[in-house]
Order: sequence, then structure tokens, then C-alpha cells
Amino acid sequence: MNDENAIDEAPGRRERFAAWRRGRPFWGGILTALAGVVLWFSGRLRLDGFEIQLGIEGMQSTLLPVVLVALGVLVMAQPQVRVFYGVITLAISVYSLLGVNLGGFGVGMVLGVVGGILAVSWLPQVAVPAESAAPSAAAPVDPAPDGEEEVCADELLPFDHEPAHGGRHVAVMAAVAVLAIGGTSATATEAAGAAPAQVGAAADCWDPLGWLEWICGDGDEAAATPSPSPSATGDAGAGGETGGTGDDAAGSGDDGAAGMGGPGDGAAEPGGEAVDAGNQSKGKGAGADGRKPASDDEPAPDEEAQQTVQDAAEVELGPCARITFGGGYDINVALPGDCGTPEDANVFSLDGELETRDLQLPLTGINGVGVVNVPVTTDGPRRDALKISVDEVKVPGFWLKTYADNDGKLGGTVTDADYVSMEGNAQMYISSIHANLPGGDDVAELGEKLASGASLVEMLLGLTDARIGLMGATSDVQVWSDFREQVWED
Amino acid sequence: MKLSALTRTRRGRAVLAAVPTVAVLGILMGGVAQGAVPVSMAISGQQFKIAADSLEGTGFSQYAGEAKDVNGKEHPVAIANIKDATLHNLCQSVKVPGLPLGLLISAGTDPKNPVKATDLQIAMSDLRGTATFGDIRIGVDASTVNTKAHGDEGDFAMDSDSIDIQGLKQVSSSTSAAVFQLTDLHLQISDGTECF
Repeated sequence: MNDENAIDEAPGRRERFAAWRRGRPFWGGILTALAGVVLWFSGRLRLDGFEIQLGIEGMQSTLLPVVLVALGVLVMAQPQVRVFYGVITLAISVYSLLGVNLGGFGVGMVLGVVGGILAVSWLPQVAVPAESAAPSAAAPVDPAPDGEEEVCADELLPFDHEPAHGGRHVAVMAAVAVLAIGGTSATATEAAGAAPAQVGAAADCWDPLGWLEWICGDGDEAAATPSPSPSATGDAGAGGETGGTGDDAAGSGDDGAAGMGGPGDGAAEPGGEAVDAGNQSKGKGAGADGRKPASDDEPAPDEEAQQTVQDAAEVELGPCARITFGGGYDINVALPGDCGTPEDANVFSLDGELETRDLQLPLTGINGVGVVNVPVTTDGPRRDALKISVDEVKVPGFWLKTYADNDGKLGGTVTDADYVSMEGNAQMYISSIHANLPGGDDVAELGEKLASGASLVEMLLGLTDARIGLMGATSDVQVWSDFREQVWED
Repeated sequence: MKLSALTRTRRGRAVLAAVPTVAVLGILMGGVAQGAVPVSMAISGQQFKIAADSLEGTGFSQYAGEAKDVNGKEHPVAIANIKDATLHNLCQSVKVPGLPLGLLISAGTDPKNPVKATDLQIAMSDLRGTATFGDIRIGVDASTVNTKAHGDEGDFAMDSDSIDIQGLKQVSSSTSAAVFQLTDLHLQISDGTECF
């Protein structure tokens, strides 16, 4: 317990510091301030990492540590009012168990309680004449508190004085007592009411967490001293096994924790990138392949066929639909206009990008495909969306990228899943579809199918490797199987 | 023994201060361990992991948010709100970066006595599991979600009346405004072992 600051200095300086230290509840103040620091960092261990603004509830995890540090400093600066500061310290430390991350995960709370007890119990020692003369003569730095303290204590408590090293005993005992009850209660699931009676005997150095060897190592001193706790009996037997009870409870906790790591491991990654172009699953649109081979003998992109498709789209989606060909995908559908049926149930925002192996729409149960006009918060007050109402839809190889605008900086989330299924009154709001036609550039084939009455939207959604501008989706029930959602940023 | 006999010595005063403190602490700790006394958690500035066999909740919403680091640089996070959540076999772990030191909390190991949390707000960077949502809306504007807390206008968001996640694994950078009832609490200083 040497003070490192003074150790290299001249002996006079060191003595002065020692005298100053003895003139106030030094260790009580230090431990209290330390408790505040520990509590503070229990919320923010990684300084270079993220920090998020905390609300009112989070305020106490900021305020209480600051108050504790202040109390630690103040109790050293003003030893006269140590009882007041000490009691406040005790109250805050105890409350920190509920208020600040389980009392700084135990550590800060214990430090605060021990510091508070030391501060409250501190008394100025009987000054050995040589010693008391030395500081007042040699240390003009801060003679006043010393003097005041002597007077004050003498007035209040004439018989108050005690040899110096009593304080250390008290510190060790207080620490052990607090730890003992900590060990008992944190692991005891049975005994709320009985807990106070289970204060372990200090002498047994009950240390279920195994992180206080510095106190246990001090066994002689602790054992030789009568316990300050009210019932030294209670659990002395359990404590004697160096934390038998604690270890039992710890065992079950470990099992639980170990088991917990398990379940997700087998499931792990949902197959990397959701869109697997090589996996030609036979969606409805892809079924076209089998009936008619790709007509390679018409190499020119047949504008006639494109016109057919565009006409079909206009019939199906209204005049605002814009069909384009090429540009990364064989066919693109967009709805830039404002001509859908107004619908105000939900307010949408930036599109997400949905990729999927294909959309497995049920053969029956498509309740409607239509263009609606919905309110949005970006790109104008309203815009068109393709609304697909189905009883259920399954989206295998689900991959969804969402966007958020952080003051011009883009970020958002990427979610992939084995599949996503929507059941019960499912609606999808789609702003664009980009898809590749099966068998290459075969617009003519698509045109033929459309001419024979097929639905463009259904065919496109069934195509493999479609990229969909997803404005939103709602359903009564939705299952995301084995999903993983991660945050991305540019 | 007279009171004055106690107040006269350091030891006596220590006893006077310690006895009520330790008694109150004992009651509180017993209550916390049983889940009878809720505790408030607020963590930020460090990554921590949460795992649970299952989470059932109501009043869910999620949207993009921003977290500031020390240099004032903003990073995106996903902010998830759950009004009421029940968690089975909860594990929370924090690791001190670069050191074989960490903290492992487990709770709710008894299937009949799950952990309860209210007003959860978690900023997360990674979430895994198998989820079932009831009455879900994806893509709604973040300012129009159905929870008390909501995000900025113009951001992609989702909300649902109910949420059920099996095999939950989550990496979070902060939790705030959360009140936990931790049953069967077990808190240990670990060698850096994490939940997953």
C-alpha cells in the first residue's frame, strides 16, 4: 500500500504525504472514486468504439458514477463531513446494483460499499507527538483540515481514538463481508428473505468468483479479526469449502451457457449469397423452357416482340408502367408515374433491394395484382407501386438490402435467409423488377406467352435471379428461416 | 451494548455502517437473482453478445439508426425495440478487447422461469435466428412504426405485433432503456469466453 507517487521522492515529501493521508479517510475516498470509475466503464469498456445516445433511463448510468467519483474526492477534501458523504456513497453503491449494469457487474458496487464503510468508520488517530508535529510544521500545504478534524472529533467523540492500523482490518473485513453476501445471493435462487442471514463468516474468505486472492491471501489478518457481519454463523460450513454453494450454482450456469452456444451452430450460414444463378429452380416462368427451345435463329433483338411485351404490360399495369430491355438485366419493369389507385394504409420510405431465387407464388390464391399509389417519404409525396395480394408466398434464397440515409451517408442492413414465407393476407409492394429471361435474350418467347394471356408480373416474379425493388410487405404471419441480419455501410 | 460503545471506535462504526448496508444488499441481490427485482442495464461503447434459446416478444420495431464513435464519426446500426420480451436460457457476454478477460451472465435457465425484459432497445450490428412475426409490416417509414420509439423519416423500417425468435444470436453495440428481470442469475468473470 505504498504510494507510488512519493516513493522516489525525498523522505520528507513521503512523510508529508503519509501524514496528509492519515488526516482523512484516504482509502475510503480512493475506493469510492474507483467505484465510480468502474461503474462508468461497465457501460463503456471500449472507448474507441460506438457510443449511442442514452435516454433518461440511461442517465443514471452516467450520473451515478460521476457522483461517486465526486464523493470520493470530497470525502478526502472534507473529512469533517465524512459520515454524510459515506452514507450517500453507501446508498448509491447499493442502488447501483439495480441501476447501473448490476453494480458495474459487481465490482463497482463492492468497491463503493467498502469505500463508503471506510469513510463512515474513519476516525482521526491519536497523534503521536512527533508525528503530529511533523506534518503541521513541514506541510504548510494543507494544515487546516488536520487541525479542524482533530478538534471536531474531539468535541464529538472524546474517546474516539484508536491505533492506526485498525483501518486496514476494517477494510479487509468489510470487503470480505460484502463479497460473502455477494457470493451467497448472486447464486442463491431460493432465498430472498433469508439472504441477510446468510452472511458468510469473514474468516472463510468465501470467494466464489475467484477474483479476490489478494484478500484471501491476507488470510491471517482477516481470520484473526472478529467479523463485522451480524451473523458469523449461518453458512460458515458452506463457506468453509471455499465457496461450495457458489460453485454448485456456477456449475449449472456454465451448463446453461455452454448449451446456449449450440443451437445456432449447426444452422450457421444460410448458404452464402442468397441468389444462386446456377441453381435453376423451376419457377413458373422458367417452365416456359421446356415447351419451346430458345429460338437462336433470330439473333436480332426483335423490336416487335418487345413492343408486344410493352403492350401487354400496359394492359396489365396501366399506362405508367415502363418496360425497358437490357442494362444488366434482360427486362426491367419500373413504375415511375402517379396513376395507381390511391391507398393510404402505410407510409413507405426508401426501397429495399430484394433478391430471390424465385418467388414461389401459389397457383391459386393470388388475390390481385394491381398498381396502387401510396404515400412515401422520399422521392415525392406519393408514388406508384405494384401491389400483389396473395394468401401465401414463399421466397427461397431471400436476400434483402435496406437503405437508410444518415446525412448523406448510406448505410442499412442486409438480411439473408433460407427462405421467407408470408402467410395470411400477404401484400407485397414492389416498385421495380429486374429479371433475366430463361434461355438468354428470348423476348419473343415472352411476347408469345403474354399474347396467349399469361400475366407478365407472375412470369417475371417466377424468373430466377430476379432483383426486386421492394417497397414493403405485410402479412399476418411471416417466417424468416435461419436468417442473418447485418449492418452495412459505405 | 450501548450505541456509544459502537460509535467510539473505527470497528464499531464500520459495523454500524456495514450491517444495514449488507442486509439491504442481501435482500436486493436475492430479489435480483429471483427476478423479483428488475435491474436496469445500459451498455454502450462496447460490443456484447446476446444468445437465447428463444425470445418471444410483443411490440416489435426495427429501423436504421446511427451510433457515434469517440471521433464523432457516425456508423449505422440497426435499432430494435421490443416492448415486452420473454427469453429462455439467456446468455450475455462482454469481452475486454485484447485481454483474456470478460464477463458472462446467464439467466433464465429454468424453462418455467424465463427472463423478462421490458422496453428493450438494442442497437445491433448482427442478428441471427429463425423468426416468426405476427402482423408484420416491412418497408414502412421509420417515423411511422407502431412502437413508442421510432426512427428518422426516410429510413426503411419494419414492425410487427409479435415476434418469436428461436436460436437467437445477436451482436449489439448498446442497449438502453432496458429493464430486466433476471431469473436464476449467474454472473461470472470469464477468461473471455463468449456466448457464441
